[in-house]
Amino acid sequence: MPMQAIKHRLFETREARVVVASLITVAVVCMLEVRTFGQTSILDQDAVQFFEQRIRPLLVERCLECHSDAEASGGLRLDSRQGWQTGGDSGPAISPGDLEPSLLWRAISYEDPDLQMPPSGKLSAAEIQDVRSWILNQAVDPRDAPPAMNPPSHAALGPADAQQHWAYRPVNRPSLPNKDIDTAHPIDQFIEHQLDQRQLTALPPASTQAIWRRLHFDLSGLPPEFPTDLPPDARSVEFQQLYQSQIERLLADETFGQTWARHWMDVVRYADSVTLRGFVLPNAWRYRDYLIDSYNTDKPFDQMILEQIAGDHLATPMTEQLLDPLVLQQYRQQLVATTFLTLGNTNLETQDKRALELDYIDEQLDVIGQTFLAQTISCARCHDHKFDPIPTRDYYALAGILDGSTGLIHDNVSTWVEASLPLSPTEAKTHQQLLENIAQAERQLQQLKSQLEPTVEKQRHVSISTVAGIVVDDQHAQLVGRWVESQHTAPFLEAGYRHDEAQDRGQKTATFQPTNLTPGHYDVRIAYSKGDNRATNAMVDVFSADGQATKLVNQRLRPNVDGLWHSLGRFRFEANGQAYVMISNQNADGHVIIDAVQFLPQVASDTPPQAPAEATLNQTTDPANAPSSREAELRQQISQREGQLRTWQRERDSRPKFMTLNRKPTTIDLPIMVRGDHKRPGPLVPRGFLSAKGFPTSISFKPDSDGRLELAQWLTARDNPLTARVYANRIWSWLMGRGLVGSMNNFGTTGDEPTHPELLDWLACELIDSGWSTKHLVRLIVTSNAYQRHIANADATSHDSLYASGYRRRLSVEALRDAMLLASGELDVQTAGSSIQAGTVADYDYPHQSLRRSVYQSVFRNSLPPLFREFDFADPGRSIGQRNRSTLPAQSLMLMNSAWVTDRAQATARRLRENLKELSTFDNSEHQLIEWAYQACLRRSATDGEIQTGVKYLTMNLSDDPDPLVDLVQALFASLEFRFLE
Amino acid sequence: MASTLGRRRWLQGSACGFGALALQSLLATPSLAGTSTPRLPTAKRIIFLFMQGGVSQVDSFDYKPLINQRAGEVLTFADARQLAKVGRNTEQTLLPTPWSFSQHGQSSRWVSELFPHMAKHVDDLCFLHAMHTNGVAHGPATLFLHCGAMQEARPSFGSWVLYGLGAENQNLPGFVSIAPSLGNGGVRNFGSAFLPTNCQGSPIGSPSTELLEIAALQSPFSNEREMARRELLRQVNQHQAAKLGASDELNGVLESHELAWRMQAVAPEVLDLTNETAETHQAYGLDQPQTRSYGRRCLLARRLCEAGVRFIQVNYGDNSANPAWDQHSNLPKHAEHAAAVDQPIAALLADLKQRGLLEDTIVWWGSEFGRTPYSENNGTGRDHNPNGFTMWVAGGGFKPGFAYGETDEFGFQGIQGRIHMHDLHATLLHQLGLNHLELTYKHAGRDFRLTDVHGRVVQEILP
Repeated sequence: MPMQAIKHRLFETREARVVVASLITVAVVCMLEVRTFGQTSILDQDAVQFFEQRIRPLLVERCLECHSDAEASGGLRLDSRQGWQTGGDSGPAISPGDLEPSLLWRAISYEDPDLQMPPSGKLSAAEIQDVRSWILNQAVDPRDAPPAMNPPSHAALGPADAQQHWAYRPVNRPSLPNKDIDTAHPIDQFIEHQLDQRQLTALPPASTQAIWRRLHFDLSGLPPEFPTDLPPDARSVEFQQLYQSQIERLLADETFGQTWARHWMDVVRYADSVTLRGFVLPNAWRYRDYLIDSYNTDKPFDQMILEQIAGDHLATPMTEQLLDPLVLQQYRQQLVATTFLTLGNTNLETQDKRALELDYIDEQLDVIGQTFLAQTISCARCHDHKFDPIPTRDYYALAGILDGSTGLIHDNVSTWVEASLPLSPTEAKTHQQLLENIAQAERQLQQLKSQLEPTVEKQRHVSISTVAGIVVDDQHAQLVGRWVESQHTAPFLEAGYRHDEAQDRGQKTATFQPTNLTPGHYDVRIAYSKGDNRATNAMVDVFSADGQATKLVNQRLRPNVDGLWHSLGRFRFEANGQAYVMISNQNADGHVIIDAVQFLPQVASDTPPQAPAEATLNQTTDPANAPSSREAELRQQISQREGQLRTWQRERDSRPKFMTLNRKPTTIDLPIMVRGDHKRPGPLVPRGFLSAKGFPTSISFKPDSDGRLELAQWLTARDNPLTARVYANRIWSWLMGRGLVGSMNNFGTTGDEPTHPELLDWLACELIDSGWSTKHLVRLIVTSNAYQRHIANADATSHDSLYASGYRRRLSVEALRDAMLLASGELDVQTAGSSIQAGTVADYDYPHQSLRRSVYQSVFRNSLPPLFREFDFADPGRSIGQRNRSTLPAQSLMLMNSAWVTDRAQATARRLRENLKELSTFDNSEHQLIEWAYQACLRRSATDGEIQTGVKYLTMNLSDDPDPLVDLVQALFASLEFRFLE
Repeated sequence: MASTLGRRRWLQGSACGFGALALQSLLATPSLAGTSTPRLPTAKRIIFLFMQGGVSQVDSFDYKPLINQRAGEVLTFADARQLAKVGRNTEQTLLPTPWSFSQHGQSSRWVSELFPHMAKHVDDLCFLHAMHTNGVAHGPATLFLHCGAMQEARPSFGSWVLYGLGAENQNLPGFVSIAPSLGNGGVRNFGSAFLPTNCQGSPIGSPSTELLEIAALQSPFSNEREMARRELLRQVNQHQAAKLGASDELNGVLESHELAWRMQAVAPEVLDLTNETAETHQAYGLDQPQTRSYGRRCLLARRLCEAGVRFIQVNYGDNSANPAWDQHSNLPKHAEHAAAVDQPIAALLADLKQRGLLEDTIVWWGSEFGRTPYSENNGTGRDHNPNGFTMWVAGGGFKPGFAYGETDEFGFQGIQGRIHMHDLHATLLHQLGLNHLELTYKHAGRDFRLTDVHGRVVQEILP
């Protein structure tokens, strides 16, 4: 950014000036003091008059529209003397008596293209002259800032006063409201206490069928089995016993983890690709599977935090310990958990790579803050948080911790970090042997090939038709400037090569553009004939899908492949993307040779290898070049070994990988960055945590630690007032439809107040005291009356948040989709593992065909699975605490017309018709089909009225071909009862 | 405060793509108008003609004879990409334009021979010659153009417009992006981020096809069967409603079915271009292979505009990382793209004008950035240039036949009358009757705006 660079320069100039100024301060100190006290009284009255007549009107007319009040542009206010003395982001605007360092002067003089004010057009010459005189004449300005304007208009809560806000106060276990019902569930005691205070009465429980359905969808994401003979009274002992045992059954089932991991995936913005360029993250799913396993085993949530924040920093087991599969599994899990920090929707293309790293950290802080603390930390990147007790210092203290590692590997388009999962000692041994085999085979191959080389170089010319891949000869290159043809030095491709005469440096280029290049990876090679007068630095640019790569080629050296080709490396090309090589003679120190460029397709590791390019090289049309028997033998050996080598390489590359961070060699403290700009560093901030009163202060850094492990410990410390509250609130909302604190991701001063602060704290204490057990809290909540409540007829009552009535919830898109697949009998129950189709590199227009449960569908940011976008799936670009709840015609269209839903309805209808065939009697077959359709979709029997409607439709004698039963099933899929929890 | 909340709730709760928030009620709401004087909008909708990849200003509308006179000279430029990478200015070689320029219209605007058709409309256009923006690479700059931000998930321009104004037509989505690219921000360029989901843009078609469709809009069934299916769903729901009890939300779902059916009835008609005359087809270039694809999109834009869609983006681009106009090499390829869009755009302008729609419709043309006057690595193309480039706006109350701002003698940096993308966003909103300072949405504890903490209404381009 040129603007920032220049401002930075100015900033430095000013700093330097301050030093100089302080040296001469003594001499002028009296004058300055006079200036600071009541300036107007002793000011030069002529100067004041000049200001009033010439400068004030000018400022009012041309500057104050933007540069006044607290929202002043660039922080600079020109509506008082103090305004320009303090200045804006770039420091004081005027240096009285001195034009050169006065930013205001620089701006109005319009000499700097990046700092021109006013933006609407340059001041007139006379006006500029006036300002010049004014500044040179000590910028006399009688305007005092009105005192009321001095304090910031937004009164933020300071770190010391944090505990004025409820969320920063300690979590203490509240005593249960002293209700006379000693058997009452603690949750109900808190809730009914509030209802009593307002003289409200809670509604009775819902029907047992409704409660049953709620429980199943909430704990397993799937509808209950049919038939379910439930006692009609929800308060009866029989039902409650049945209910209790079903809770345990569901908590123990693996569908629990599949459903609850998905809740967490919303919060941690889980995705399998990044939006820009649709890059697929092939190993993100390991983190998803980690979450499913963790929820299923009820891994203590504090342990999950530790692993997600710092799993890569936890102790590495000794080799012999890894012999124990459980130790190995735990070790793998803790490593995979840290993928959490890498799943941001990163703008890998950003060219300023330091800015990219800081954006990456900002995203991590944003997600960590919202996920665990419900704090909007990233608001403090550019200025102190406007509302919450988070100074910018705290932001950079935390950013310094995260800057100890990076999830990026920089290139024009940066990429993410993947590492190999640890192996058991036995596997490690095999792997080591494999690596040795590969190294040995490579050495042997090199040796064999070296015996071949002279024969190739004996050739005079090589025909393109004998060469593998796509080759562009110099005669088809787009030439700029004069290139002279030659055949002087062999070998060369086709008729000859060209050189630049070693003249007109920087004015000649040759562009080699292949035609019909299919997307994929290619080894890109150039051919040249070597020689002593050649350039040692011929500039070659490869333009690929990943941008532009510049390579310097020493054309005095023998080309490294067969004495003919010089490999530039492996590049990726996209359909319609740029794909060409440009050779230029810029700065060349000798003759630049252009002969040909070869694009050699790189074989994906899961497809059989092509014949190696070298093998075809010598099959020229010239019979004089026919291979000798010795040579043929050599080639056969080479071919054999290459085949073996590829097998080994594939084996090596198939080793499981996971997404992680690379530790930086040194950990340093970061400076505050003015307005978030890393080119404007302020004072250094020691690494640390949030400083507001109420947060733990007992965690200190171990020597040499970057602080990430300590950050995790600080988050899970018992006296952290937020972590347990925030997570308990989430669990509550996942079962009750909304949080006790409505703003799930914001417990700051702008968030919602808890409706039941004591209940929230009680749940937080239960969470901690149960060893951070998620299942414990689930059990507590679903056994409460509040959970089992009947839903009032008119929802939207004013007592909604008091839980006097049940709360109508919708099925998530995941449950909606799974329920359709269950009805159609198509649900693929495979657990664990990637569902990305092999060979997918970009997520555009991805054909989602998997029929596995929704949680296993690839979350592709550019192409979500069918239904996901229309039905309020969480935006995978940011942390989502509460999904949207939209009602759109697009949803109806999807349910009624989309191919995906129609396919499910057809499969369901087919299945039901098949069942009918197995019945011996065909009487009342319509009745039977309709009853089954209701059982399959809604898990209940059809009522008489419903049967009637259905029979009428099935016997309507519609002209179209499809089975009318399909329509009935599809209508059930689109029906209210299918989409809502009663 | 109460009315602000009430209004927000209302907007969030209603299907803002369909339930129209009448302009009157917006103006009657004092909270949004805030301290500034409520103003009547001069425009009701926007058509944004997005030229993905970066049209070169010095080869199209920003005439700089000096780059030809001094072609091949090596000069020092503050190249944005190099600055970001190495932090200093670099030496670059001026690349002449292969196209000749001439003056057009009563306003005597210079237009290169790339755009002979658009040249005929210069007296309706308001050129902004000193645009500047954030982001050097396509991804960041494209997001910035659409959402006013590069990194964070922010609502797109169209979704802000829909949030602020509601839809005019209850049977169609209020924000449509025709043939949007999936690259360089993809869905985020028409997403609603934290705004209500019903403010998000509906994509129609894709860059790789001439088909212009809304997902799942068409039922595969005969009319008779379709009517029967609807009635069946109504009855199935009726049986359940008795059991589930009355509720606004459940009624909302039932209404959304009805709306969907209305849309199913109305939208295909709007999407069907065969209703247009042969002359119209010809005017938009539907009869020529070169102009057919973009011509269809422009014609659809006019039909959507007539049907009352608020924000219509007509994309010319593709899904690649180096989209359409991105001529890093082979600059002459610009001619292919120009030929594909020139006639359709001219036809759209003429058509809107003739139908009186140009008065309250803003047509906005341009790219995520411009290109450099110098060549890239001595090659045959130009690199990205966010420092000074040309966009134009027409209709909707902008000064016609006007040009504002100026770049340096090589067309590289704006030197006068610079307009930052935030400023343009603010000005476009202003013309729609929305104050960019007050069109806010509370999210994550603070009020967000399209223009963040920036933006200035560029009064100079308004009458």
